[in-house]
Amino acid sequence: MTSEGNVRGAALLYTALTLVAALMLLPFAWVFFGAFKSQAEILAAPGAWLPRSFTDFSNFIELFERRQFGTYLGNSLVVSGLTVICNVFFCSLAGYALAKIAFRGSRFVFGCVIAAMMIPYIALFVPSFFIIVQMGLLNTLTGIVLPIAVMPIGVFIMRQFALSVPNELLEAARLDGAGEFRIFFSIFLPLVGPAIATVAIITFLNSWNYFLWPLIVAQNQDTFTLPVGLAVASQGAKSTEYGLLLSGAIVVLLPVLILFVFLQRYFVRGIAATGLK
Amino acid sequence: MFIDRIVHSAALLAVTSLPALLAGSALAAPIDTAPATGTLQIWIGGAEGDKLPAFLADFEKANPDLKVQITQIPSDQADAKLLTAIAAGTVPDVVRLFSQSQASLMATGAFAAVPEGLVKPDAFFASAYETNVKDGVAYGVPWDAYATTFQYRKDLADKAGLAAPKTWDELKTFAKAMKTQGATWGFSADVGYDIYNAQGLNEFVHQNGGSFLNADKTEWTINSEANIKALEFWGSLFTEGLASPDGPKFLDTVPWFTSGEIASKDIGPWFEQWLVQANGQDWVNAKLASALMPAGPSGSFSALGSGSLGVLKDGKNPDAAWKLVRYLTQPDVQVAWYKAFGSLPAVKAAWDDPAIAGNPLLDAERQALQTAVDIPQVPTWNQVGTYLGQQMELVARGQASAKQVLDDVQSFAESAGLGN
Repeated sequence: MTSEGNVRGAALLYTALTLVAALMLLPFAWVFFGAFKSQAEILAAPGAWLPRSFTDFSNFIELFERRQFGTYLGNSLVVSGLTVICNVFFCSLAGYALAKIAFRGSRFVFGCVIAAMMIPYIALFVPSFFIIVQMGLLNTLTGIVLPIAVMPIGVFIMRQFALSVPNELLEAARLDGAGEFRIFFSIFLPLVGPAIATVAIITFLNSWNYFLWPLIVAQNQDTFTLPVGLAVASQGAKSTEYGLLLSGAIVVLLPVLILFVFLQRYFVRGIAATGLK
Repeated sequence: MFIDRIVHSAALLAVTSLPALLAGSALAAPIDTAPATGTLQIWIGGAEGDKLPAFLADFEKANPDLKVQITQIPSDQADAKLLTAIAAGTVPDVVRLFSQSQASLMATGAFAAVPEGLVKPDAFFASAYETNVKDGVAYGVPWDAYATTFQYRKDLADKAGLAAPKTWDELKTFAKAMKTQGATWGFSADVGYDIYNAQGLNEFVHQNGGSFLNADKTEWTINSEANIKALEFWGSLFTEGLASPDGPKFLDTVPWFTSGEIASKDIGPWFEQWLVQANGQDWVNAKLASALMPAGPSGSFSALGSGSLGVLKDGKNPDAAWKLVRYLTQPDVQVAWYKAFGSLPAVKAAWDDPAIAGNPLLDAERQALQTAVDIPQVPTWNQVGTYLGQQMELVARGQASAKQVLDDVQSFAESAGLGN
């Protein structure tokens, strides 16, 4: 009796959850189907859910053959790759120093990091741009990466996580004569794997979806990243080219999706730990 | 968008704090006819940027020692990019400006005055040229132009035995007749309740002899008697059940028009292409017609949209830049660009070409362009127009009177100022 009730309850619950999940996935399905549609099919009234053909890759061919999407994809991978590497490296160094090395002004430095987190990046836009121009990094991928190479949120996460690493372990290594860098690489880093994954994911997502800054630093199409290239490619003469926009969105989405499938655990943990997506 | 606004303000602040840029010179030496040399940098929207390189082959042939570099910029973020570049002095030589957003760019003083004798002002549609003029000096040259027209379901009108409405009264009769022909709504005005709504109201205001600014553009006159009457008429289209206050919004326009949910609309020339893409050329030939906007007490006026070419003072190759502008505004080149890309020429003579004169749907467009009215070319129009557009919803839904709304918007506009 009770078990039958449980089964019925569970069935209801799963039906409800499936319905809600389907509802949430509908827009994604629409984007996916739209990627295979021509402009006429998308604008048609009444519209159809499914494209006429799933093997019509003409939108993707247009993007990669005529609209330099290969270049944009390459640039985006370089920008995001560099951003992740720089952040993981520098943020963990800073986090380690702030949590585990007693030095004068360490609290002040940490206070500055917290303060920096509170300034919206957009407020630093014009000054950052002046600096990049002065450094001669205009129109370079380095110029795109530099302002986000060390994100305050990364330092914050690493520092908080580093606090939980037992001092005894580090002191034991110190007694054995290990230098600070040796301790950092051999003892500290292996212990903070989950925090590194969180920082990597946050900085990857940030840089991958980064739009305004790359748009402003890049001065020609050879340095455009995917989001900028997508905005440009989907502009039609009289209206947005929806087919190109949606297929481009798939190209932008795919790496994130693949990453999510493999690193789901860390995504969830990262969001739980920081409250950020 | 909020982010845009911060970038705009920050960049504007940086720009206006550079006194060197403010000391604009009105001296503009004539441009010779020798071939241009050096490198020419052009920033332009993605759609044009895709077609322009091939289109400029002739220009490059005539200027063999010139290297043209074209960068495609997403149009909706072009201002943020350009303002930042102006602030840092890293500008290109030529940019494409949009009449809807160029006032705040012009206000930076970053654009060079059009050299004497480069183009003939009266070769262009007057209001398109006027868009670029500040204190008697032109800082840009129109490249393309469009005006909104009254586009309607010819098949339904024929069944009702009606021609396109010529006056405000006829518009109401027409809209009612369309409803008896099965249309849910006889007419459709913009209902995004944003800055484009305010641009739409600007037409009705001029049709009624009003204006949002006084004649010398020094004061807002939003709550004038003529403007209130215009907004009342606009609102009555909704409150009398002739137009829907809920739609269609943007992309829905094509399906609503196709299914007969709306039978007429105040919209730009691109609508034809949208319908061709969705329903085919035959459908358009059989069912779409275009006419001048119904005239109010002061005549028929449409909303102007215009794209101009601007040359930046800090650019490295102004000579080549102006030569390109001169080339692109030749009548035959304007026609060629229309054929290659579909942009309607800003140069009047180009409209005599059979490619344009032969399209009956463009007859009304051509007439409308003669008198089309621009939005107020002041930097604060962005805020004022956005607010006005929002408040118009109250009138469309019968929740406030036209006078209440325009009094409120007038005081908002006065506190925003003109931004010059």
